[in-house]
Amino acid sequence: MREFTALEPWATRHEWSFLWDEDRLLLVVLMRSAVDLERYIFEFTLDNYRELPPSIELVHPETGETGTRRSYPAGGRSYFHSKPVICAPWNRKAYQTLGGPHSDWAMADWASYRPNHSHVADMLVLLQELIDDRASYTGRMER
Amino acid sequence: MNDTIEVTIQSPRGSTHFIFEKTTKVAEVVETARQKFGFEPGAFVLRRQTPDEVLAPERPLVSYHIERGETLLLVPEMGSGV
Repeated sequence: MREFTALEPWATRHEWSFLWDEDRLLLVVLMRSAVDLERYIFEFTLDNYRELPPSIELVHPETGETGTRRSYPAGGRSYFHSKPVICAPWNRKAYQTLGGPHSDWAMADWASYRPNHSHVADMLVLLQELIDDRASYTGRMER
Repeated sequence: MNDTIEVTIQSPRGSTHFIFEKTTKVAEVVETARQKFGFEPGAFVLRRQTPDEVLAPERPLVSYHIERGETLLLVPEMGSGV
C-alpha cells in the first residue's frame, strides 16, 4: 500500500513490526510504549478504505485476545475509550451503527472531521505518540 | 557566509529536503512543509530528534543551531479523542 512507504523512517525509529495481508486488506502493527515498554498490536481492517474509515482493533500480544480491555492502552488524551474502542472519527468502530459510542458522526464524512489524521500513516504515527505521551498514557487498560 | 540551511523534514506523509534562510521562523518552516506534504491547515509540531525538543514557532531556525542536513519531524498535533 503506497501510504506505508512514507512510514519507513517512523517504523525504524520506533521498531514497529508490520504485517500487510493484501488478500484480507489487513494491516497489523506492533508498537511499544516508550513510557513502560508495553507492547500493543493494532489491527487495521481496510476494506472499503477510503470510502469508509479503517476498522481498528487491538490484540493482546500474549493471549491473542481481541477487543478486550486487556488488549487496550488507557488514557491517551481520551482516544482510548473504556468501551474499549479507539474513539475517533477515523475508526469505523467508534460509530454507533457498529456498536461504538458515536451517533453524531456521518461515516461517509469521516475524513473531513480530522483531515490531518485521515490517512493510515497519520493514524499510526498518532497512536505511537499517544502511547508515548507521559502526560496522558497510563499503561494497559486492564491487567 | 552561508545564510541558508538545508534540512530534511519527515512527516507521516513523506520526507523531503528543504533549504531555508537561517532566519526563517519555525512557523514558516511548518507552513512550507505542511503544504508540501498535503496537510490541511491546522496545528502542527516540528520536533528535533537530538536533543528531543519541540521547536517554538516564533523562533528562527538559526537560534537552534541546527546542523546542515539534520532531520526534523513534522506531525499534526495529537488533539484529543471525542
